[in-house]
Amino acid sequence: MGKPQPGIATDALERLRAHIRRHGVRVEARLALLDLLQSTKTASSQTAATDIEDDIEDHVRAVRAADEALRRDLGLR
Amino acid sequence: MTMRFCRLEAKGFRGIVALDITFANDLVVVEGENGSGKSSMLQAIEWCLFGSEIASKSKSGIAARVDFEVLHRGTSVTEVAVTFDLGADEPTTDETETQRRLTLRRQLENKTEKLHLIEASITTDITPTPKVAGPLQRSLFDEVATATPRRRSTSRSEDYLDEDAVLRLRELGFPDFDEWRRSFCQYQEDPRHAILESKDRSTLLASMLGLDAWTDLRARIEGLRARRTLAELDAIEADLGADYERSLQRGHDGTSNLRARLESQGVVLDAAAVVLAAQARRRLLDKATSLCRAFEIDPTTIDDESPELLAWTRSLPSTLRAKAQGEQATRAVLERREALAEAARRARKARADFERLRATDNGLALDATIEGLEAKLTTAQARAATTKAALQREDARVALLREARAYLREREATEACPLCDHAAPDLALRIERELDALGNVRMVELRAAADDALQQVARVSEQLAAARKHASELEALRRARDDSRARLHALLGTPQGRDALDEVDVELRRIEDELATRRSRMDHLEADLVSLREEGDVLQDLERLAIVEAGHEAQADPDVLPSHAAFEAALDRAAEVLTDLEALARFAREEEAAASRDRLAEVERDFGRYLALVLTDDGAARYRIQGKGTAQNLRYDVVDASGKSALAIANQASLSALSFALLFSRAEARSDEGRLAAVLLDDPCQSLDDARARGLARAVVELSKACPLIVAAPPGGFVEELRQHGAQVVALAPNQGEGGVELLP
Repeated sequence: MGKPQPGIATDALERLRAHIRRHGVRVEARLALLDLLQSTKTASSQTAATDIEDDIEDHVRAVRAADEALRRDLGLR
Repeated sequence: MTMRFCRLEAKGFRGIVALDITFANDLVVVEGENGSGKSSMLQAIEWCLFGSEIASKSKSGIAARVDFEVLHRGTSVTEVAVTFDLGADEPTTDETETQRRLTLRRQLENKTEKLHLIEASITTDITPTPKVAGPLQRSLFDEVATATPRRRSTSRSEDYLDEDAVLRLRELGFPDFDEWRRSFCQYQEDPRHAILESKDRSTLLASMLGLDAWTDLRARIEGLRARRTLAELDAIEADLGADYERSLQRGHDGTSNLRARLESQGVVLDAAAVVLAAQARRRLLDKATSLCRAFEIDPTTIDDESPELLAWTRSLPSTLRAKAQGEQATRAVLERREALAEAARRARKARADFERLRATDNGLALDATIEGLEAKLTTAQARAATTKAALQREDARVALLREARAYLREREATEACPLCDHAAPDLALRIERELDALGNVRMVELRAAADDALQQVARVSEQLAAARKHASELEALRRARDDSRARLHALLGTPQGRDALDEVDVELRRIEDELATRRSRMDHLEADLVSLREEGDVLQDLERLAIVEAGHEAQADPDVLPSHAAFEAALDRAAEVLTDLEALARFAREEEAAASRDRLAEVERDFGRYLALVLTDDGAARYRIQGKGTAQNLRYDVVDASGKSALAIANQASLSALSFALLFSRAEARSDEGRLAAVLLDDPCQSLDDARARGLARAVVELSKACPLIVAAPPGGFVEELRQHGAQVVALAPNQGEGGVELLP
């Protein structure tokens, strides 16, 4: 992981951390997003973006699977 | 962290056959006439950094050439190496600092690019000695290398190839190609074209303002593919809802026939089919139990909630029919009725006989009669005995008299009576008279009296015997009557003393009623069985419907389904992600706007300073940078004093000056922020008169205090101005044809 880039002010990062702490870390995407924020435009930010995509894809897959299960139970399939 | 160009080595790149330049100053001027290879030098640096990426993204520079030809004619291998000195990081601890020297080498051979990055780092203990503030021209790397022996240093070298090299460059803060073009270089008049396009201008200006990080972050978040995918979840939910509604409708249609059938049977059906089924179960059980009782079958222990209730009632008709056909139920009753009737008949006859016989003595006391007769008989017998005795006495006297007469007749004449002095004849005569009297009167009377007495005795005896016989018969009849009553009581089970015949009548009537009821039940059995069957059918239908309704109920209330909860939870979790992303995008936008406000005045000041240096007159004051729009859509423009966009009406020199001022202020800001900064200028003096060219030179010198520059320009006042300010001048020989680019001594 690259060092934090000073392109985004340190105090802004702190504010974001506070924001995340305040709301609780509910999803891994937030951590990945923090990485993304810290390393915008770097290679690791690509990884972070991919992490977010993967995390969200997982959620979407979970929703689709739950949708299928519910449809079965409701006799819709 | 500084970013200094230390060395450029190029082979076979465009017009360059072989070139090796060492940069010893933060401000380097590449001086040469047209065609001497100035631009090729700068492009070599860019190609080394980005390779063929230039071709895919750039609209100018090398790629503007038709074939993006980097190969020098006559060679098969192109190779460019640039060495950078990155100076010191921010200290990772209080006591050490790390300095890096990078050599980036890109090769093109047989259309294949290879990239090789060598990173040499020296970590130095900096505690004992004060920080060395060496001249800009000298690499900190060299400073460290020659530092006092008391400072302990460790050196390390690492190699990165191709993708890894690119990643490592990004990690070290090297710009990507877009940022490079926006903030690191100005090739001839490209920026002027860029700032004339309003969209590009806004982006450019945002970048100049140092907002690109936030803008980029916002764009990344808003552009996340998954974010759009998350939005599609709404469609999934909507589809599910629509399908569900349709299925409910189908389910309703599917049970409508069943509903109609049940309603035609008088079953009013509502959604509470389960309740109706429970009621039907109770009805069915009551009916079946009642039938069982009627036919003296032990009801089963099945209750109305038993699942076997229906099956049991289905088997019941055959049992009942068998029972009815065997007449098991009525035989005992019939026998009892016969027995009771016979006993009653006998009892009645006994009673009638008894009463009739008793009526023959007129109801008098038979005992008194018998007693009277016995007394009468005794009297008669006594009289008979008396008369008999009298008669016997008279007979004896007669006999004696006859004996005496005979005797006297023999001695009649001769003798007198021996017993008395009566003369025999007298005596005989007297006897004869006596006998006559006796014989004629007395004996007749006596005999008549005796006969009468005997007749009386015989008559009374006869009467007594008849009375006794009567009494005996009466007693027998009484016993018979009592026996028949006792038997009736025994049959009836009633205590003695009550009138059994009345009781038997009641019982017989009850039995008759019961038999009638049974006959009636038998007559109604089939009807009852049909009714039972129908109740069972209703229950069966209701239970089927209850199952269907339960299914519908589940459908009608999906909340009860675990999978529904799972779906909702999954949806909520996904929505949370989306909410987070929205919040963070908003955060990025707000930070972008806040940074914009913070940075605008600062950059505008630097922008104005550089603009004034280039334009040399007070015209610079006419221009400023203005941010427009909302946090969601920040736009920037260069405006004049009236607040209107100034670029459309600015002359070429002003446009160039504006673009340089933007570039320089941005580079200075990057440097101030501690980010990598460097500027490459290719022939920047186009469209500038001599005075403005010298003004640009002053601006370049000013910028070189903050970040390194490499400037390519033809000989002239601009170069001279820079030279006077201590720039390192690399002079290129005029175009040598196939000999390639060469340095002048």
